[in-house]
Amino acid sequence: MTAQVSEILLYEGEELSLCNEPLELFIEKNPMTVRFMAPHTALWRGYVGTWVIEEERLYLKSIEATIDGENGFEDVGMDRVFPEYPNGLFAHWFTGELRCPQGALLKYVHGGYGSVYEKDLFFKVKRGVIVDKRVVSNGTAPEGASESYHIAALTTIAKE
Amino acid sequence: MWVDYFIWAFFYFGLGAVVVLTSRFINDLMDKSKKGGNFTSDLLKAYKESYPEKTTPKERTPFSQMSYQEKEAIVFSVIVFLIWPIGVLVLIVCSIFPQLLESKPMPHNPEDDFICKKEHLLHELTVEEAEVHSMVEDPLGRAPKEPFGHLAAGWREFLSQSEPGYKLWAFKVPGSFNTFDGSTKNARQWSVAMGERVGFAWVHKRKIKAEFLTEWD
Repeated sequence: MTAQVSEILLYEGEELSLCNEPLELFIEKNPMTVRFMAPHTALWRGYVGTWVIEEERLYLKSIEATIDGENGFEDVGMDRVFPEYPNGLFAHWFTGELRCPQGALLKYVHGGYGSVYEKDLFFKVKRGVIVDKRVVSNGTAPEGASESYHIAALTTIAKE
Repeated sequence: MWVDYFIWAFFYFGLGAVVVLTSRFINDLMDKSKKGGNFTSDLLKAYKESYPEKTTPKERTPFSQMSYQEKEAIVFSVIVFLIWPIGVLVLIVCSIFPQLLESKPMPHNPEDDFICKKEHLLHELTVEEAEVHSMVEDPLGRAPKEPFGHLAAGWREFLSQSEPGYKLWAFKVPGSFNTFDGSTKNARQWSVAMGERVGFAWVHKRKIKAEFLTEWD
């Protein structure tokens, strides 16, 4: 599988790449009114969620999604995916660890979220509440190594 | 008298050899359109690869170099060579009743579809008890004030699957490392980490009928 576009996490004024998909359980266990479609091979889940940590809680702030609309693929936002919660959702369904890679690239893996960066910032979450935070150092990248999370290649899927 | 036995054995095993070679020839002909060569050429290739100049026969044998299918074919050929009349009889029966060769699909167990298994069930409870302990509190008001919050629609759907006699149980599936072959060995290499999963299940006569996940680490 091609390396995947990450989710976005806003934390203490910084925009971090989030290599988890906290919305997956929600989608799997809830009847959704929309059907997400993959616009390209680096986004099989069909959406990019922007998450924020406020009051030590995890919220879905906004979403940019591609859905199967009446006229083929449509790019939509919160108002269409979660019309009842345009200001965001408290991710109380999520329990687990969030991983945000930081620093320069150590090793690129063209699959999922496999690439390794200098540091990983982990948030431990219990029912949507942040209960712990830790930083893991993975090493130092050589000079000139590319900074921040990125995808090296993808294939666009025809929108028909 | 020994001459009679010898002649009998000569014809018996001679015909056995003819049956084996004919069956292999037909098999190779049928496989010709497929990729990867046929049995005879694969056998010769395996033999040649087993004895390269710098390798001693003790280290590598033709049999050890063969694929499972090739080994299977050899064992099958030897068996047919020894008891070919039975092989011919089986061939005739199978050609008359081809359905005997069709593999029957394994019966599907609906319980296999669920993450929760019998051993993960914790305790029985009522719907009211489950809902009281599942209210979501959010100071910013970004969650519905009802049991299971944003998962309420899924919970209602789960409740609708209840039938007379069904009992509600809480369950907890411990974290494990699932290997790709579906087993849950402790080996961490080539495995997928699965965290603890918590939820509720409808149970009838000790069988899981439906499940609702509330936590999936």
